[in-house]
Amino acid sequence: MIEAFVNDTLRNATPIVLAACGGLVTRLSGWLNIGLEGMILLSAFSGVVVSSATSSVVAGTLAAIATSIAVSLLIFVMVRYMRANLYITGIATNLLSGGLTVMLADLWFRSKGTVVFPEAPRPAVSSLDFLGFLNNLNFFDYLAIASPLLLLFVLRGTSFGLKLIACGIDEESAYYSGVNVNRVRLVSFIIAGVFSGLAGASLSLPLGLFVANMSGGRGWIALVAVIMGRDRPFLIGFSALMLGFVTELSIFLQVSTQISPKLLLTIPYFVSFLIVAIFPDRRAMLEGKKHE
Amino acid sequence: MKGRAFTVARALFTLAIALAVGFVVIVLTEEEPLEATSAFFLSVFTNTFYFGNLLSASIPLIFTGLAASIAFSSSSFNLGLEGQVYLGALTGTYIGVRMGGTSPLIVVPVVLLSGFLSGALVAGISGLLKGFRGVNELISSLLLSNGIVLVVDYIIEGPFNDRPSGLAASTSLGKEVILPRILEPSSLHSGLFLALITAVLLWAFMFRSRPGYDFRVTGKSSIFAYYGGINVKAVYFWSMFLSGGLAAVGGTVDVLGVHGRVLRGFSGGYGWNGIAVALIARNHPLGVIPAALFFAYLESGAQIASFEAGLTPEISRIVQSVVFYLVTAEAVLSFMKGGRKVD
Amino acid sequence: MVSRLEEIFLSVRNVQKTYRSNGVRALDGVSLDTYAGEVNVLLGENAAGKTTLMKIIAGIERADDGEMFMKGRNYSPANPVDAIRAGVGLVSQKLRVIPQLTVGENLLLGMDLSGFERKKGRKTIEEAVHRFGLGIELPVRVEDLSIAQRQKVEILRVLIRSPELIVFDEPTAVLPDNDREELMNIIARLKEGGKTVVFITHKLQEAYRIADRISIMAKGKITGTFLKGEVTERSLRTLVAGEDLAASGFSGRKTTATGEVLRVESLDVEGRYRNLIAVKNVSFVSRAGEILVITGISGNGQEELIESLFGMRRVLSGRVYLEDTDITGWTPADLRKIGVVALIGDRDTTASCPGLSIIDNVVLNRVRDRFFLKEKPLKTWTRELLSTYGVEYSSLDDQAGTLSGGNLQKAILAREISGNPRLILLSEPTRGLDVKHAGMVHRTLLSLKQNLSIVLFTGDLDEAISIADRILIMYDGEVVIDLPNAGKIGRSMLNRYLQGAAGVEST
Repeated sequence: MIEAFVNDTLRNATPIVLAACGGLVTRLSGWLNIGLEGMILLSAFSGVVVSSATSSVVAGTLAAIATSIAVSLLIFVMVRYMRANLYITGIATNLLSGGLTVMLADLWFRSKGTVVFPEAPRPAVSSLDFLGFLNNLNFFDYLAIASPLLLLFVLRGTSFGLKLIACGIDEESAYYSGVNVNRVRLVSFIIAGVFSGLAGASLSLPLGLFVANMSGGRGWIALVAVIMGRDRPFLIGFSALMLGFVTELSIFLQVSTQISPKLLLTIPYFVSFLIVAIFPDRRAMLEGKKHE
Repeated sequence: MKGRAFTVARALFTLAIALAVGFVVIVLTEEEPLEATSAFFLSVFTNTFYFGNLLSASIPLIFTGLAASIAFSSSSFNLGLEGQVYLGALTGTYIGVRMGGTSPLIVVPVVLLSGFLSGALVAGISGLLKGFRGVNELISSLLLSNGIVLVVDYIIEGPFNDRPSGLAASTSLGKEVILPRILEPSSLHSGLFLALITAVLLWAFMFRSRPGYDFRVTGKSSIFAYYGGINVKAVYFWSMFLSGGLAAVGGTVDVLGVHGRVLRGFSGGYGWNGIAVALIARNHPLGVIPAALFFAYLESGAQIASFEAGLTPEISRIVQSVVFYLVTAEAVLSFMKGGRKVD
Repeated sequence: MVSRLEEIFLSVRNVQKTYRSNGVRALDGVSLDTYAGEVNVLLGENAAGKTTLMKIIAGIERADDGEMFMKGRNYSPANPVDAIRAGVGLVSQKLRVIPQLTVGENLLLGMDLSGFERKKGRKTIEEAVHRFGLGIELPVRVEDLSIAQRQKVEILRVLIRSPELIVFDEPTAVLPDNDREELMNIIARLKEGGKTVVFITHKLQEAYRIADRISIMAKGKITGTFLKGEVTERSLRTLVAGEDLAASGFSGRKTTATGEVLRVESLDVEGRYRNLIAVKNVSFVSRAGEILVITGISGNGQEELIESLFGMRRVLSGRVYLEDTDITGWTPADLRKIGVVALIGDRDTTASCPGLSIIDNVVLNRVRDRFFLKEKPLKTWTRELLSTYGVEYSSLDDQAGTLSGGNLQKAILAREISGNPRLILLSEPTRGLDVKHAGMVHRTLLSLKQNLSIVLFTGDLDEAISIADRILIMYDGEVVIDLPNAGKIGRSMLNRYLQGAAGVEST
């Protein structure tokens, strides 16, 4: 019972952790990408469609990643070269994903709600009988567990990580120091694309289906995890896990209690709201301090 | 090229590109693209029913557009419009139903006011958090709004459900409080005048009153505003408060004029469209009116084309997102400003 | 002029640069030759275009026109990375080390390593630190260092890339004496090692001391280049524009001071970074009818002092009184209500908003006490005010960013004066203005002081001497001298105080 609950929490946290890692990288670079939600949704769609068409989980995953990178680059190009507003283009991406996935689902599969892909292969799951709560996890779940570690290594152990942090703190000094700020941001947007592509694939591939708006706010919740985690990969991983737990709790309560599912679904949003209210954005505070 | 003419030219250019993208998508996806295209772009003008519906659809967009513009011009990113519209509709309807039997002359203002307050308070929380705790209002308003949408869904499906109808809708308001119709049988109603008056009042507020001046100055530069003796935190709060209130009134008016009750998801998209409207209008309250008409045209066209030619109505979402991508891009059309290089 | 056969390392030909944001023509066809293995000094007053030229050489900005050649080959860096790879390093005036990172991280950042070479970088750094004799532990955060230490970190960051040409942009401005000596030694060592150095300064003595060759820059042009042997310090003095103005025969000012308006008692003010106290135990009094000038070399706490007086920076301890009211830590909103106004901070970001219309910038105080704004009377009022102060503009609805620097300064000065304040705080009121506009600002201030108290911060000694009733000099966050401007004050004497050579010594 508890084992199953922990297990489900881990699996619920997977897309949030992955997306949060992507969000963190863009945030550190100084250009927070708020289009994560849309990137997840689009890649969830393309991932399951391609995996079904090719009968390959790997191809599906790659397709999801490619989609997400493409969209992330679109945002980057609009902001960098067309000098569009970073947040508005992020919103544009979220709106586009909602419309485009439903339209394509309708066009190709004649369904606007749920599209089931019976032939789509499912990613393999582990069977670890001795550690029950790590049982039944797939590739994405393990990746999600590993990615804060990976990110910590990138930030602390590579010079790219250092450049990334420098760009976010003080882009001008970084520029003077000989850091190619532009390229660092470009790379950070590609990394965000990889992570949210994986997040999208982790939603649709294990189920072998696509549901309209199946990202369900996870991109936004991932941003909350980033804020809550104060730019530290492990803390972010932990925050995402907690938000995954909250999501799991709302699902668990739907099954086990009489409370309206609609009300239970609000829990992740309101909990996230309380979190951002309690853990204010350190960067925003610093910005604000300049004139207060 | 002069500033204002350039602004208008750029807005028109953005819209033209967006429509062109819409056209291309139709051609690529539809079996009979010509029929779908004409249904999308032209049918609206073929009869007063369609045209009246278009005008009717623009009313809530004027309100949400004004809501977004007042927030944006004070540098508050209110992304919670969706929830505020929906909540305003529910609060107004609930109060209206509870006041059943009272004179409409009393009920209608009270309904509007209660709707206003509900949205205003919710958005105001984000404004306060921004001013006093440095909480990013973009994320806080969005999270709150996402939660509120679900709560409103729950209330109209549960405690406040109109059980006999079997619909996912709330109990209806009395017929006597429904706003008078214009251009029947279309759904156009006299709320249009309320929207237009609100736009003019907001213009006067922003450009002819000191608080409006404070909003605009803070929106351009909060450091300059603080230095100049403006209470920046108060601006953060009041701009969000007014923004949320206006959005909520948009929902309330739509209930009072069109539906008479809250239908599940009836206001879905009003908020995002409102943001697009404000961006196209460059946050100018009077510019919001034509911009809202454009998006109403887009939505109506998509709907008409969907039942006349089987077009996927989501196409309007795609056109809308193209607008979002392009609308703030300074480099669009900048070649007209005397060959200034991008970058 | 010189015409010898030494090897020219970097040759700048007819470079022009106009800043688009404010239309200032910073470089007006500069040509300059930098000789290999020499210390080339670029000497000139503030705003002569020295820093702009260096930014172009270091790839931070791009020239509008003109060419550069390095060892005879075309050199046009698109960004600092290009410049650094070509062997050019810049130690900039405003330090460019990142305070939140450690010394080691800052050094690594300058190395342009690809992805996984961080370990290898450490080794190079440790060697360099050893060779250079940095004397600072690598894991220390830069924000915990003194300004002089930070500068050393920055220099080392530049040197680690083994540049051929090293540019120092006014590096001594922030340094106390003994550190300055050390910097001179570093430069001498670089020269011994065959490096080419460009050293920018507006201090003549310093220039003469270390230079092999001196170029004089004024108003965006090089007006002359001399080998050290060709000029004396005295003849240089006459060559540098503006340097002579000090001896303009000004014989002090009879003070008209009356009642005390502002009293500052033992004020401590927070600095730009954590753990930094910018202003230490400062006390002074400012009276009605006088102009109190606070001067000092940039970075010695004057900006922070003025900002804290106007509620733009946190006061750590001490008191500020306006007449009998304790105004310590008041916000600008409250201060403005009781007649304290200010023109401080950056003119284009704090004291004005370039994106707002001219009228919206000017009516800032005027509208404070009302609710409805009537357009016509406001416009009439604004027009009259601006014409009184001779501001030239085309339409009140144009953005303030379209005004020239001088006109913008006059407009916002007019705005602050218009409300009949009791105390005006000014920071660098004539920075970037031409002589004509600067003179107008000075005349305005002199005519105003009868009725109120003016506290003015400037880094320009000539300005200080020409308008002050009293001069207060700050060094390292403390007031080192506070004396009436009674004619006996000479430039050289003030200069000694400015550089901390006399009076209070701090540790």
